[in-house]
Amino acid sequence: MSTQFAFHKREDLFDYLDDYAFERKQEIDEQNISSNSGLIKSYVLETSLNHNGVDLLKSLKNNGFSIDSGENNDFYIIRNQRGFEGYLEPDLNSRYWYLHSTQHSDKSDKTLQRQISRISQIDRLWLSGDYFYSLWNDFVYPQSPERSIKIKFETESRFENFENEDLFISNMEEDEDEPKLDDEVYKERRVFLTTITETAKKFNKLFPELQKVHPAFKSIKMLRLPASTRGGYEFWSWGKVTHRASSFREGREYIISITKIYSILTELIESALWLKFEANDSNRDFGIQISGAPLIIDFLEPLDHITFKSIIETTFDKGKGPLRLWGNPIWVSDRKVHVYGIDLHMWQQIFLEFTPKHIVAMLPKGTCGNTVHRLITNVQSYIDPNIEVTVAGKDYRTYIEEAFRKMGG
Amino acid sequence: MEFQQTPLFQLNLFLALGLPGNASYFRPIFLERGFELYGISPKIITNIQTITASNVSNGLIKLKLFTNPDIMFRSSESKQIIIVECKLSRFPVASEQANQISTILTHKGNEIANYFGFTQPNLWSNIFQIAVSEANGDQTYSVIKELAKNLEDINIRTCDFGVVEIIRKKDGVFLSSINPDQRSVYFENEQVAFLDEDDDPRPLYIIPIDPSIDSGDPYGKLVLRERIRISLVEKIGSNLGFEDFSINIDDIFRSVIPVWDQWLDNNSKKNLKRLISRYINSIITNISRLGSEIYISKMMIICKGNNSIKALKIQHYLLSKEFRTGDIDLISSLQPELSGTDEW
Repeated sequence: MSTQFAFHKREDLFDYLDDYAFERKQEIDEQNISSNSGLIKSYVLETSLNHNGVDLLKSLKNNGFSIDSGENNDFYIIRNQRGFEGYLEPDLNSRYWYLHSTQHSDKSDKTLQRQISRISQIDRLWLSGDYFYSLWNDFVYPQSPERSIKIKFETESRFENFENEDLFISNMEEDEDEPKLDDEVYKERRVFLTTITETAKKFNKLFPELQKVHPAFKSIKMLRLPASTRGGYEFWSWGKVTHRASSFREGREYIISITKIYSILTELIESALWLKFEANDSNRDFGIQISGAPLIIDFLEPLDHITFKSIIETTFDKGKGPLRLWGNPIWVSDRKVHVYGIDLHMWQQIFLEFTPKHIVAMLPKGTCGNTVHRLITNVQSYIDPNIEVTVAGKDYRTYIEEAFRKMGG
Repeated sequence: MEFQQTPLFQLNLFLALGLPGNASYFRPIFLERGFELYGISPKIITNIQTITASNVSNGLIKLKLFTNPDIMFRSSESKQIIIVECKLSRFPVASEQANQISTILTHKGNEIANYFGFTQPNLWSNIFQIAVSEANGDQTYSVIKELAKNLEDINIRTCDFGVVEIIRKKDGVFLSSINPDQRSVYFENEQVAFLDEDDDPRPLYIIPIDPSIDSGDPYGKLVLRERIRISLVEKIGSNLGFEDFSINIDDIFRSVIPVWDQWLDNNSKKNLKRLISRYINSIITNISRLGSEIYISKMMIICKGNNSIKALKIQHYLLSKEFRTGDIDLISSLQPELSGTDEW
């Protein structure tokens, strides 16, 4: 649905979206959702460190979007020639931006995944299973133990028994969030898809046990945060939020908080991991100081050789698959591969070691820390959810906990 | 790819052992012992008294005005410095390498600490370690002992020293010390990597090339090739959203080789710069044939009038197998420059 009138002030836009959210929630409650309107979707975008907000707008214009700005340049209406329309606003630090849309998800999701995300300066938020688990433990369950929650788990061993080449489209066209698998393939590959709707109190007792018994419960695709009144806000692992409550402003507040924690987490990780080479003086008399550390993703059960080989061949030799990494694999041995490569989400360098037992990544200074969250999320979603992750020798979860603490403080 | 220990491997191994991590990759043994990685190739000046004292040897001992040891670790808590030189095997007593080693032996901990400005310099001590491959430890230690004795004979005190062998066994990589003077760096058959028998022990190379150490590491050359490729891909790819952009080619050199600004050997640097520039030039030419206005001017890559269609063409080219597997053979191009030892 196109905007019928122009917004000059952000407050007016928010009022419109609040009214819109209220109407849609009524339709949900009456089970009478209009086919002409979609729920509000918000997408959290991240720009690369080397490019600021002004560059984001330039990039969007250069990639076929028209941009109209609000009165104080604190929000923008963006449109493309295929009928997409959305409202873009910067976070307080312009590294993160929020894109809101009232269009159906088939249009807004596709525009985001196939057009906006392909711009090299732009990526999305990536929420790993550990991040969701902390959100559950520190906020959802304590705040709303009696409320009904919804949580979706999804993992698919995409590289096992790889037979059907048609499944993998090249890096330029892959839509990793909408698998197009037919029944035949599901028989050949491990897939886990389940949605649980339960009271928070009951589910909280089950949750840790479920993860112990079946590691697929570590790969969380979506978690609904209950709204203060009825309904809630569905946070997806790839940075999308679906508003299923009557207040846009409340959902936006949740998004800002989640993004703030994510931002702190990302900076902590960058600080720990970045490979830095610094000369202490202009004469370089003191040599080069080196700091940094590896990210290590350990598979608790080593991958079999076919799956391991498939990951390398699919990702690098064929340039396909969901990981969107690029480079020339160096087979150091038949069980160890080094790739000095590029993460294609933001076209930034990453050094990788693959073995059946682990993936090691080193980030040169400047490579965004969300590379880490994205890699972890994708490994859990498409290779194996049963992993342990250390960042500079410490458990990844301790960084998440620290980010939550810093956010509270 | 067959593994053979090289000084470049040793350097990158010690870097992996000096950064925070866990044993599933490489055990951060230096951190476990309280040492942080201070830097690579720090320049340490030999003091005038030492140089003067060596003159009485009538040319037998030729100390250098300064050294650039391969790696330096330090522990602020125990006030100890570890200097590591990576050598494959022993070397003759009368050789250029021996002069380098002799000079490093004269660097005492309190002098190094004072030179770099550490607090309480008088409390610092220095341990000099030479890393060698398996079965070269005893003979290397004998050589260093002789060098140290030669210095002591002309009243030049030396620092503590030792030799550490890097040993590849069936189940991993081990460090084993030969007659060290300091317990804090004594490695009693310490396992630093846990591997299966056929596993390759090479870490990711943080330093792909350092002519002061080694020019004959074939894996290092592969790494160098890929680092050149991805530096160019990153710089161009990350700017494709813009209509106009420029890239400083010197930034590409620094991205490829972290010690670029540190290199003292200007001839080698010039040769490598020429080869990399030639490669970059050929890639820019290929891109311009796709219809983009892109060219090189005064060490800058300049692109103008970019749009989404041109950007997509450039992306397709950069992601192509042709580009990835290299239509310019960097290895053989680099071979003459890197294979000889005289250049370095």
